[in-house]
Amino acid sequence: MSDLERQLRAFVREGDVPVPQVPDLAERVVAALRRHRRRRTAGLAAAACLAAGLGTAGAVLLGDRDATAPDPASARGCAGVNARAAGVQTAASADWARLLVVTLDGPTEGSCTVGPGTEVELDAGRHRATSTIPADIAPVVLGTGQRALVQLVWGSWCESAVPAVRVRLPDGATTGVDLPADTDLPSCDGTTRLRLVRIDPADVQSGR
Amino acid sequence: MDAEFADFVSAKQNGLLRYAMLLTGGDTHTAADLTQETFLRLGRRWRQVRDVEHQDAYARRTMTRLWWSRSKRDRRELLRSEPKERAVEDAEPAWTSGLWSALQQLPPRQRAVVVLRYYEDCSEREIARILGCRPGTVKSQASRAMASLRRLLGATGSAPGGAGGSVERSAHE
Repeated sequence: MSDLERQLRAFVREGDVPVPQVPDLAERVVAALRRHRRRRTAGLAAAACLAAGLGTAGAVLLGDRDATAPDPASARGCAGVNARAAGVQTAASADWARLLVVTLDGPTEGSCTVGPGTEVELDAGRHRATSTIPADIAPVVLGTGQRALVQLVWGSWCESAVPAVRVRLPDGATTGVDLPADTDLPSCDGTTRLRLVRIDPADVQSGR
Repeated sequence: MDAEFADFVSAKQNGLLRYAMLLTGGDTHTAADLTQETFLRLGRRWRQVRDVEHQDAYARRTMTRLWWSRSKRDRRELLRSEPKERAVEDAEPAWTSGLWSALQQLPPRQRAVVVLRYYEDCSEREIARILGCRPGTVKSQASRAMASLRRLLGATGSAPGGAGGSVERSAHE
């Protein structure tokens, strides 16, 4: 090893190299790491929602269309259906659509079919937006002690007020619940958009 | 996890900042950015990293790979946009210690080879793997780096003291 190599080795390992002062580096790194984890979690949630939506769409497209018509006889108990809670899940980016989830508790007597024809309305007084469950969504029969999760994509909201959620069931019965005051509302991109994507079959008896 | 990782960052930051200064040839902003990016990479894999036996060496390898990727990207951007700015910047090293000044004037890849070879004691094969090139390229880059350093230091085998001079940039860099 030559002198120069020895000097190089000594210098790169222990030589006087000026080191910049970055006093808040640890805080910055930890904060950036937290942001990264939040983004990743939100991204995974959005991907899961997308996958669930695609799965539902596929099941509906492949399913028996005749079986989706509601049974009027089973709609007798709809007056006892209660919208217990509604919440909004925020997606990865502030500009993205939100997922609005409404929990419906079954009636204390009889059963109620929640399916095509059911209307979900966001009501902020002056401003309203409605989505009707389309014919290609499979209905579910809601009995006593059962519940259904109605999920809608809320793409845009052109109103500052946090709305209440109203659900009009096929037999004309109505139920509703207020969204929490701190709900993260989607931004307005011109027109309010609300679109039902699925009725969660979890905890409920399928209408088919 | 955050507290443990924050302690790790606090303990290692000076060493990594110094290593970043060696790699970047004294570019303080890039060195600070590079150090932060390295810690972020390590933080994302913290469960694995905290069990690594030689954390310092692991962190330096991570930094070297990041820096080399960034260096290639920046060089492409500079070649497209403003090659003169780089020439002016490189002609005036911020510090005047002989060996440090000479190291600063080496092209990025030659400097990386020198640092990996004399700091990390990496073999040519290991350096080639880190920099994504062939061992023969490492050998030639090391040879050019040593020749440049000798020329810059103004002597063959004498103690490094004088600074100044310039280095012709290799067409491969």
